[in-house]
Amino acid sequence: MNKGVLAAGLAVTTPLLALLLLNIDRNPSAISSPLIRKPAPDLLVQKLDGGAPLQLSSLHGRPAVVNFWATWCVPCVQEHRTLTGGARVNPDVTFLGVIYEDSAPNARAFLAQRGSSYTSYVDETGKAAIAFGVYGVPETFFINAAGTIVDKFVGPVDEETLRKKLAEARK
Amino acid sequence: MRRLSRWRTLALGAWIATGSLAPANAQPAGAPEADVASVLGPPAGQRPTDAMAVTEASEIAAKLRCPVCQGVSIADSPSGMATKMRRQVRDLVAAGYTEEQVMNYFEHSYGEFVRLEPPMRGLNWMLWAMPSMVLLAGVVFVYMRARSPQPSALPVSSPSPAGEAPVTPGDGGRSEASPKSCMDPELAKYLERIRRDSGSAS
Repeated sequence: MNKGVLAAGLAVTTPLLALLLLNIDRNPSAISSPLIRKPAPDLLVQKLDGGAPLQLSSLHGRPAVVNFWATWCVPCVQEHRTLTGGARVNPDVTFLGVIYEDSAPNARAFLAQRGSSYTSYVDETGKAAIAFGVYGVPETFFINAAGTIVDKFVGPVDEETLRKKLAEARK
Repeated sequence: MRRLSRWRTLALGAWIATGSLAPANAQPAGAPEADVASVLGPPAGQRPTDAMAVTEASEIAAKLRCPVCQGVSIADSPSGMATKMRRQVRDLVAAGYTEEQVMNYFEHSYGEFVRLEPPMRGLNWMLWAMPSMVLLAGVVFVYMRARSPQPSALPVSSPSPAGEAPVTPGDGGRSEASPKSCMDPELAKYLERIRRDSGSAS
């Protein structure tokens, strides 16, 4: 075989194979957030049940969990119990829900039926979802006391995940 | 500490903007939100007219990927999220933010993925340059091959040296060094007949 052709072939295929092997464990649908290790977006959100709106920057000083959810989202229903329980046993952490692509009456009915231990907010303009770079629901952001996003979790949060991520947010 | 003071400044700004002089949930007309201001700073452009804002917002929307769709711009997507993103683009443009600032705002939260056209920076240069480089390499390869001397596939139509017997289908094993020995017997016969004919004509 022509050595030049062999060398050219190897020069092209070796980096491609190396790239493939290095990323073999990577889930192509999982897109990491560019907001991790950056300040959490500062937005004004309206409470689902009325009352004074919340400026997200007012959360600083305590770790926070911001969960984007919707009633039509099955994984959101799965994680609801975990988050509600997590908010009860972690009183040092502020939990808040942001309703994504859903109506306030639907969310109110859902929470009336299943209960909740933390407040949910509406995002009718979608500005909170845009500012957090939400691709779908459920997505949960873990914010430390300095107001920096330490991690984002895509999918239903289970108790083990919640425990680990809260430990990171408390650091 | 710096982050804390930044949060305090933002909180103070938000408190002033939403404080006792205005309803708690009101945003002063045309004022950028705290989040937009903290990411982009002040608008770099002038506030456009309504018609200009609509045109510019449409152009920008065509360059932003819908995050809940498959490879579609927010201009082309009927999804609720795309509609909200288009509204955000329009609001930013109307506030005087330039196209690059608007793109940067979405890139800040969604990453470079949100740009339908990858920007020409870093490794992205390879995406833009690779097709041209491959094409150029192909042209150079073809040119070099065309210029390099190739062994002729056809026999040289020179008269046989004196004493050498004409090539016949049966003499394949007689002279191994000769290219003619590998020739198709039918072709050899045909060429020999031409050679004979042309020799007799002259």
